[in-house]
Amino acid sequence: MTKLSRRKFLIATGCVAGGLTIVYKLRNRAMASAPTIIFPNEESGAAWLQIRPDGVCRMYFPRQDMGQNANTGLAQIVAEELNIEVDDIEGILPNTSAVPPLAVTAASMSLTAFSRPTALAAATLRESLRARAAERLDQPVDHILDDSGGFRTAKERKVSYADLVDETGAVIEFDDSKPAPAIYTFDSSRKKTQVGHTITPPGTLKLVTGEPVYAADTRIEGTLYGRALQPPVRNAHIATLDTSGVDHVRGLVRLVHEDNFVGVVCETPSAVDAAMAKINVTWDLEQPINQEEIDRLVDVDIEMAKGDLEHVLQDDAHRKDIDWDIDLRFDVQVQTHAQQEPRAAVARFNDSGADHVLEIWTGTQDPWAIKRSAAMDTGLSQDDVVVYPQRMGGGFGGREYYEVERDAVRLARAVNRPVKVQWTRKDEFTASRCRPASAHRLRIATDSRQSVRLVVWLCVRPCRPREGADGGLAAIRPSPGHRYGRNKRCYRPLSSAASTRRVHGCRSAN
Amino acid sequence: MKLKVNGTVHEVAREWQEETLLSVLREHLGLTGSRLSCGIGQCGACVVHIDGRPANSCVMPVASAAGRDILTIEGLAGEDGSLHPIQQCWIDENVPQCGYCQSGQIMQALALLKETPSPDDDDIDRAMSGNLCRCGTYDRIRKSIKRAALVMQGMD
Repeated sequence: MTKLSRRKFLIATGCVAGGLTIVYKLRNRAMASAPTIIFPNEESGAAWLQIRPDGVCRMYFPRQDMGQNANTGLAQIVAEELNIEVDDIEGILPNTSAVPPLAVTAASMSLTAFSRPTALAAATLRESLRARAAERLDQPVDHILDDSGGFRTAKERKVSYADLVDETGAVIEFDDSKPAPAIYTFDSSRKKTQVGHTITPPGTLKLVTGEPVYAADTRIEGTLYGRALQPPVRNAHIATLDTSGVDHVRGLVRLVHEDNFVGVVCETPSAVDAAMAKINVTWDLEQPINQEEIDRLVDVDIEMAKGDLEHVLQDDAHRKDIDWDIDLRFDVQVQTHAQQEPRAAVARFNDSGADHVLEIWTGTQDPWAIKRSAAMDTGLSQDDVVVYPQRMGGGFGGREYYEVERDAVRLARAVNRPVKVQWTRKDEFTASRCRPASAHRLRIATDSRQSVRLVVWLCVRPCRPREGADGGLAAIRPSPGHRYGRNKRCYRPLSSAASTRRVHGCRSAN
Repeated sequence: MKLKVNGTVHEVAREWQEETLLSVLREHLGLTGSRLSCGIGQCGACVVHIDGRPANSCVMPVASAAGRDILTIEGLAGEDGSLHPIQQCWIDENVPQCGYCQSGQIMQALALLKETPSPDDDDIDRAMSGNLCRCGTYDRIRKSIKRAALVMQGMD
């Protein structure tokens, strides 16, 4: 993994240019695990806030934006701590060279994982500013009171944040060995001015006026258009290929064929459609699709008939003879994420001497995964690759992998021009990762007062293996405490009440 | 070929004259506010107005729009930057989630309010049925349209 030195990080983000900056670390849950950032270094998860010399708060948003408004919530926390409005915050989606790697934006964990570190950082910044205000006003620190956008004394002597920072720049290193400052966000006795209030999320104006915010809106001079064949299933190989009609398509720039990758680059989007329509291909599947076998594997009743999973009882009430008040089976079919925006990416290779050899503009839940994959794909070092994250027109957990970016990168490299690729809707349904089918058995027992006494949830679902492990059928998030592996059957009674019995276990498919 | 978009006449280069209107707007003229989603005229993310009527620009050949008045989301606000009442109500009601469909939703809502200044729920559902929102912002869209209707009639 690329290690971004603290100094390089601060220079890249402009922190040393002026103002007062706090660098803080996001704790363990912010560290990336799945899907790609496996070994975070000490800088991972860092994010920062800055009061610029003009008094504006700059915040590098630590989450990718797909409309879930996690960054809005975090900006509200910063505003709460600094006694400012969210509109006073300049929010920036950082590129992958501007900040150390951040965890994939997924699993609805953003506010859970990021809110407290963000609040702590903003509160530390505020208290540092308060100390400066005390010095400037020649008052004890505890006589410096909060005010909108700054501080005041009891006699209404005021000082704004802009008055307290200058062009020389300064950095506060968050030091968790010292007592934490008062955090307003989580003080239940405090009347909140920002947190918990409905606001207009940053960026809304751009959405209603049609400003460019998505990857396909990216415009670079000299851009060509491309698309690649998508196999009907993962790991399919081209059996026969006929591209004889492609050369006659007007506007064709290059037909690109590298092993199992076939794509076209054209002058215009309709030429891409025409060229792709001229490609005739058949595929060999490593493992023919056997729907009956899949149905058998994803059948919770078949699994339950095999008997209990290996497990450890945490108390003695998990009995086979229990009377279940509710016993239901749920079957969930394969689901595509079907976000409104077909995924898109623009890739550009630069001559030596540029800051980065390869630049990628894309909407993704994990820009650092894309960066790493692109480096591996091209043989470049990670330092030579930069990803500029764009807003996503929906993600829903389906935009974590190097897919459309791969197409753009390979095609751009082949023609040495910027190439924009946007998948078709058919590509989306054919080639994007789906949420696999699963089957669930839910059993609930209540006591004489109708309170839940015992909940048992059994589910059968395919899981994606970790890198280097055997293949699985598809990818989904594993349950906490379970290892990845081939086609797990997970047996996970829930702990919803103090009296709930807890058992854990799982096994692989035969 | 000339294209009149938001009151400005643009020359369409020869190599772009067989493209869809959406491709020309986005890639040739740089007006990227109208978006490609389904590509088959079924979802409404690409809606623009042609001579005052809504059209799915992803399936319209650019040649068929030549010489006609085209209005895109970029041309909805005033020259001074003042938002159209529909845009303002969209903000006031916090309509967008991912936002990708919203340009088309707003342009379709504009067409509805031109035809039906005081639409009821059925009018809205019927008029907006060709505009899909994967995030499910339909309820807020309905509220915004009703609010915009009042504003546009000077009642709010």
